[in-house]
Amino acid sequence: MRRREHLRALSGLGLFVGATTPDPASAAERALPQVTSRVLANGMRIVVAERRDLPIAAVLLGLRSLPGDDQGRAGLIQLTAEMVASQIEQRPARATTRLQPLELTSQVGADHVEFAGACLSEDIETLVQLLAQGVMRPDLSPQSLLKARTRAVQNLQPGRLQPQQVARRALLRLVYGSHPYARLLPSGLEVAALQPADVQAHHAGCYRPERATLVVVGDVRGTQILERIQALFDCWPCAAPGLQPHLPPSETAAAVPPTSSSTKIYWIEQSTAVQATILAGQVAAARSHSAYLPLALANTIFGGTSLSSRLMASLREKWGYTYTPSSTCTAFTGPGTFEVLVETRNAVCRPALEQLFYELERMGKAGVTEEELRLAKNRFCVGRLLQAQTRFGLARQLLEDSLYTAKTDDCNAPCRLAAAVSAAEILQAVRQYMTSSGTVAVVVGNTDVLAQLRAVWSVNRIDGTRQ
Amino acid sequence: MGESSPALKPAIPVRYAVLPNGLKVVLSEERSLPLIQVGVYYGIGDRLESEGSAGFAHLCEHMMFQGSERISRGEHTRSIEAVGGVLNASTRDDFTSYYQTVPAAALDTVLSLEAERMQNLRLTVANLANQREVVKEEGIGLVKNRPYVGLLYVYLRRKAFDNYHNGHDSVSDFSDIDVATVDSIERFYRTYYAPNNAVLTLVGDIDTDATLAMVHRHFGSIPTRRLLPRINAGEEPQKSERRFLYSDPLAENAAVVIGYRMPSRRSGAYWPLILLAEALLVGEESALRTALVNGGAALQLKGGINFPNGTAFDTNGATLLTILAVAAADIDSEHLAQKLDVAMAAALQRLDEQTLIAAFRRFKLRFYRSLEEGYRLQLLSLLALFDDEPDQINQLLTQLAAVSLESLRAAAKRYLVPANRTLVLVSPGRPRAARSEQAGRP
Repeated sequence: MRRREHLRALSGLGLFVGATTPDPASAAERALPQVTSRVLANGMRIVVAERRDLPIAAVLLGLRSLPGDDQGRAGLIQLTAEMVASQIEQRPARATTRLQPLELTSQVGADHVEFAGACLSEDIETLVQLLAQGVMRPDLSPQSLLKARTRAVQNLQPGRLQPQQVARRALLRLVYGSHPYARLLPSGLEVAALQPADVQAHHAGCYRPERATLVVVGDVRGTQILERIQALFDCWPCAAPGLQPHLPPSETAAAVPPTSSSTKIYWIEQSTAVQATILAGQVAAARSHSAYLPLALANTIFGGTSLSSRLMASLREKWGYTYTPSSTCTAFTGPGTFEVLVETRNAVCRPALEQLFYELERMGKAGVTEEELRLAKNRFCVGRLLQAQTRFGLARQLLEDSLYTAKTDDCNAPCRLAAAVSAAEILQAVRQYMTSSGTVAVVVGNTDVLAQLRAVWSVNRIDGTRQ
Repeated sequence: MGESSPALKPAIPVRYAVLPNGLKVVLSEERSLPLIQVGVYYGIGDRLESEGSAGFAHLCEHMMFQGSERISRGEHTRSIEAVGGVLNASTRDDFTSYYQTVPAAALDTVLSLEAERMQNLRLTVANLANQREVVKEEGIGLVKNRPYVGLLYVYLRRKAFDNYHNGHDSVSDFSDIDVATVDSIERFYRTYYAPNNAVLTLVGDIDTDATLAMVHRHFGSIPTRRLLPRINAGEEPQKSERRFLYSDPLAENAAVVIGYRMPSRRSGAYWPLILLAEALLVGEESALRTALVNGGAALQLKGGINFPNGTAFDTNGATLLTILAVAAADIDSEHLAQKLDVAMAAALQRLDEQTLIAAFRRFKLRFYRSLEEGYRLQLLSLLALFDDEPDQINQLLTQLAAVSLESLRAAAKRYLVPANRTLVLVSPGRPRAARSEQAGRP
């Protein structure tokens, strides 16, 4: 009914929305900048895309990592990355590079570590050189570790009690059990226990050329920069001759997390919280699983970051419970998660959670309409275009394509795959991974919130300060 | 300064036109992807609200998605997202913006939708009641559920400024919007949402001439409205330091917040202050970060001109150079403030040509990056809205490159002094975590 009203309204303005709606395939067709790639003899992959409208360049160096830290070593992947990144930032040749501004960050995902740098295009060689030095030959001595560890623990402090972080740390541990992904958000205590030998072994095992891809996007000469990068990284296997590379057991023997069979509600007290934070989730499909893409589209229809999703239409626009409800479907190499985040005033926490469950059940009972699916495909495909507007956005697409599909020459492939997904496949994925019965909900809030929840559900309490 | 080729290269194409009804139109072609960004910027923001209408600009922003005479509630959003586009809106001190990015083929639809809500917004009691709650949730989530944020958005401004327009709380004081009616919001809308108080900007895969004709077709017939005289948001010069104690119930660590009063954006002193902020606060090698964070006294250091409301170019009135320093464990706010003063004095003492060039080049990198991240749309819009000169986007780097070391020192001496600042010593209202969280020995 609403759709017909909409078409009528637009017709009244001399518009017909169908006439301007691009189909997913055509939306995805785009003239990408020229991409040059090369695989070095040591296995490292280099990808360069020229984009010349602004005199800047973005560089991403990605390394396939481990699926989370091993038991007793939570925070190891992150600490190692931070040690490497801080040494890149400190720049040995600081006096001479002071006038070459670089923006450097590191990011640790579930399956890969990423070092990102931006620079004026004339400084690209300096940036790549610093990345090469930092990644291949970092100082992992005990003194360096002590400094990095102290800083890492301190950096964890300010956000440690933020409701969203408290909820996510708890949710990961609840849904993943003994799987290494459960330890994606380490505590200060865990990081403080890490030793130099742990970091050295991790670096020797994971910071290796065959696990690495370096992507450059920007105002550069492709062939020229490719040669320069090759010269810098060709020697990588020789970087640590004294260390025998080995991988901790988690990469090959990650336990499959159990799927919950009934709704579980957990409460974490924060007496000062003026809003309740609800984070509900469950284990979902791995990125290579056939259900992953249907689930990703279902997530777009259900919530995502869309302003016209079912979640937004219900919790915000109909009920006014919240400002920005959202959901995510994580793209992990191993089992991912489907998660829903709602921040709501304390007084309506219970109805907000009930409404969230209602919308999940509605997805599972009736599935999605063909129209919803068509629009979700549009959003998926145009979303990739939107991401490619920035150098880092395009670089990230190329990096993930390289790390997870070993392809960098067909960035329209995900869009074509999405276009082929049917409503039936979505329903099947929803019934497996987006169920109210399989949901674990973590609620961070005050005791009033607890009382509301207890009126409906059996609620388990978690001590958030001890996680 | 000795910095070569400071002008923006390649230059950003800018076509500027003003329709007979007063609507300013900025067109900027960029055809690397088949996408178009469309922004409508209205000359109304928090600062321009009159007494008794705190929060109306933001509430009205939300109501702009609630339907109009010919578009039903939420249909604007659905129409943009249906073609895969993204959209949002924002209320700041001096403007309210509506922006979307869509596939180029959807341009006509977007212009129709924006023209429709510029003239025919439909308000209902139910929609107003609903959005009032949503706005409150947004405000509470932004400033009352996160440490230090309320200080920056609300408390500091209230203490740093004397004029109601600059210091009132539009974010978390809901007393005015609680009594807002359909009539009062309607009056607000009719007062400020007029073509002669707006800028329409298009950036992306457009044909400039054809697009301008399309804009004429959609917006040309919207009637002009009589605008109110510009409000007086001026401030008397500050004569002495203002110092306050504040307990943040959500903070675990002590902190210091400082706001230095800035001169007008059109003042010559504004340009050196932009570079001073860059040198002091931005990047791993900035002077204050090096002294305080690397020196172990602070965990976090953030700031800038007009921080956290936007960039130095996003303001058209009284603004501050704000600094937030969050103390490391066991350091109290008095101690941190002393260290900050020492670090600031040392940094200003050390100002030299190298500092100036490094700050300029860092600004240049961040500026270019921001342009591709969507700021091109906003900057073009604001240069048109505030100054009628959108093509100044191509001159900003030249202006900054002309800053001399003498002007840098003079600006520091005049503006970055205690007598020109408001300082808040923040004590943590939440007990710190157990000491066992500290790092152990290797």
